Amino acid sequence: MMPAFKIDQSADYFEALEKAVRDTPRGHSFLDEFARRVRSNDTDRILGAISQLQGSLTETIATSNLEVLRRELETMASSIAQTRKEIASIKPEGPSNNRIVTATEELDFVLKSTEQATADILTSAERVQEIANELKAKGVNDPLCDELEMQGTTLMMACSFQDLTGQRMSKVVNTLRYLETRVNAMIEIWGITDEDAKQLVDNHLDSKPDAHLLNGPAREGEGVAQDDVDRLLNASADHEDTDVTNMPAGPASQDDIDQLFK
Amino acid sequence: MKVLVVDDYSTMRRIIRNLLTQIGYTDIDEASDGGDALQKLRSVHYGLVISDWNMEPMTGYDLLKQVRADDKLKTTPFIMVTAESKTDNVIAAKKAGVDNYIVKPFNAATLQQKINSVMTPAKPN
Repeated sequence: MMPAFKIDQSADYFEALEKAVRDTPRGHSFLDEFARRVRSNDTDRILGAISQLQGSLTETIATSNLEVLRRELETMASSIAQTRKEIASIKPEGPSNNRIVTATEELDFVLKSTEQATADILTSAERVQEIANELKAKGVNDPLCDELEMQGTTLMMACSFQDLTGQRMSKVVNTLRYLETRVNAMIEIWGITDEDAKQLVDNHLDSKPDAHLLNGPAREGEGVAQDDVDRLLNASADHEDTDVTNMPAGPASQDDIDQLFK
Repeated sequence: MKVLVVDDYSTMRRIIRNLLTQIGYTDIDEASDGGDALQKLRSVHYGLVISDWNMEPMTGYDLLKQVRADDKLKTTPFIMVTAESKTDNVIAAKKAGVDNYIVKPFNAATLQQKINSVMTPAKPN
């Protein structure tokens, strides 16, 4: 067993020892090889540390990117779900309750009503012109005849609005029809059920107490005529307990109405 | 002289007919689209065509091109009366051979002025 050897750790002693070893050829070679090995180990350790740090940093960045991606996906999922709900709320509950179809039909009715009103105004305007001409033919020589004729023409020209509004409305109707097609395609793709639609439509319903009575102007064949209304209003007001169970859901005939007041 | 008024809106046909009558043209026929008009033009001689642009199935623009491509009809005066007021429309109509172009809404004076410019020196009836 080797005896315990106390090493002097001072720099002078170390340098003196190194010089003594280096002064010999074998000692010189040993010290060079030792230094190379130590350097190599240090480099490996530093590279390992850098690699570890790099890995740690990359992981942090990747985690951060993933977080952003996750949030984006969540937002997209939420938007898709919301869109799906909105589309579902448009889905008709039945053939007579499709909002887009109803809107399209309403606009069609506006077109027809406007056309009819315009035709009536035109007829009156033409009659005004005729009257002016008849007066002139009867020898009435008054500037008012010319004024009448001019006003008739102005009225008639003003009716050309129907062509312009009609064209604009036709564009809207076509757009609505296009939307209807696309919405139906989306409903089919997403497999939206009637139950989904009903639930969402319920949320969109008009909450006014008289909402069930607010249907806008009646279409041709719907509602009751003014004569019927007059009869209803002119009848005795004593019949508050009127039985309406036998009344049809659609347009009421005069006989039906009369039944209410017996 | 016979005038052919082409418009898909009966209201506009009626207005133009009335204005034409006021300025002396009383022999007036009507058509509701380009195809209908072309049929009439090929069976009866007309001295003037006043046509809308936006009609179905055949537009006034297509009618104009057909008229200009037809040896028997190509010299027929043709006025476009339309709500299509973009420059591109006017240029396209001009290139297709339209004689004049009126933008809706218009007034009686404008119609008379355009007819006069197209028909000179011809006289009504």
